[in-house]
Amino acid sequence: MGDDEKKDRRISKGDIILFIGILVICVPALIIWSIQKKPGTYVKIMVDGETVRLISLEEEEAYIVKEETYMNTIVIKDGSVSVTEANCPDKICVKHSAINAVGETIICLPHKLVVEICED
Amino acid sequence: MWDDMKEHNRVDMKKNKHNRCEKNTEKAAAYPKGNRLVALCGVFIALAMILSYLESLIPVTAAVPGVKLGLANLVTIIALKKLGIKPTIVISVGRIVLSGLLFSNAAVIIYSLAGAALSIAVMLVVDKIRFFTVTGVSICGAIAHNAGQILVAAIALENLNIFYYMAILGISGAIAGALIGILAGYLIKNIRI
Repeated sequence: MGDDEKKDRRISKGDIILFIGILVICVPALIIWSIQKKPGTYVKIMVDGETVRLISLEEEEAYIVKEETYMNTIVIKDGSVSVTEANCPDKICVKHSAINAVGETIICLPHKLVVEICED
Repeated sequence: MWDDMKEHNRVDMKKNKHNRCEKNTEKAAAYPKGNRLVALCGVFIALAMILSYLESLIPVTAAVPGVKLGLANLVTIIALKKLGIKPTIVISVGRIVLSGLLFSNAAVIIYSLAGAALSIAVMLVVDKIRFFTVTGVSICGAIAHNAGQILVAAIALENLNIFYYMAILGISGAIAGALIGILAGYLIKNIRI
């Protein structure tokens, strides 16, 4: 019975250690990453691993990526970049908040589109 | 005294359940077989699809894509515990392909399958470790799911930068996995299949 009881238990010490362990690794990583991030200077738009266009962040521009039936509208405004419109099924790229720090990306997986912030 | 009786009754009930289910009382988990199993697979796939749909109704305004509760994982875990390995794989693939065809496109199916494959593989391994309960299995599965999707995305997009998402997805995976795991533990204990 004791054995059964152990199996039935919903949370074990191992689970708690696992949970805390993950938080201990991920939270500092996130904090370090957000401390050392700095605003980028230009945005790189890539489709299928190939760079399509580079746009300076100082510009205000709406760029439409069009490839066969794929369509994404990328808007650069006030030094940050967002995808405002897309015809992909999940709309994850549209839901993504605006980005402005070096290394940040907006990705549209179905369209293989990567919008990445870079610096010189 | 009263507690003793209750304990006794519980043991009796457990015994009865086993005898009713299958003859092989040796194994603790007697998986359903035959037509019953096929029917259960169908029910589970339908349930998983409904849960994914319900989840898509919740508007998420997270800064990072992929942060989600993963309600469908609840079905996967219960299937893993109650039906065994093969039905679990069938249910996961069935759900992804069907909801992929209904609500999105082929590309999304591939990313989802990668996440699910890694997730199930990791859950199978973790399930064998006695150190963890269902909650631990669920946490590992959630994180493996996120990692699998990022891995495939990184390969498909030829871009390694997106691994910085992993920190946020690790945290969200741990929290969502724990919640789903606790819920699954409760359900596994209380539902009869």
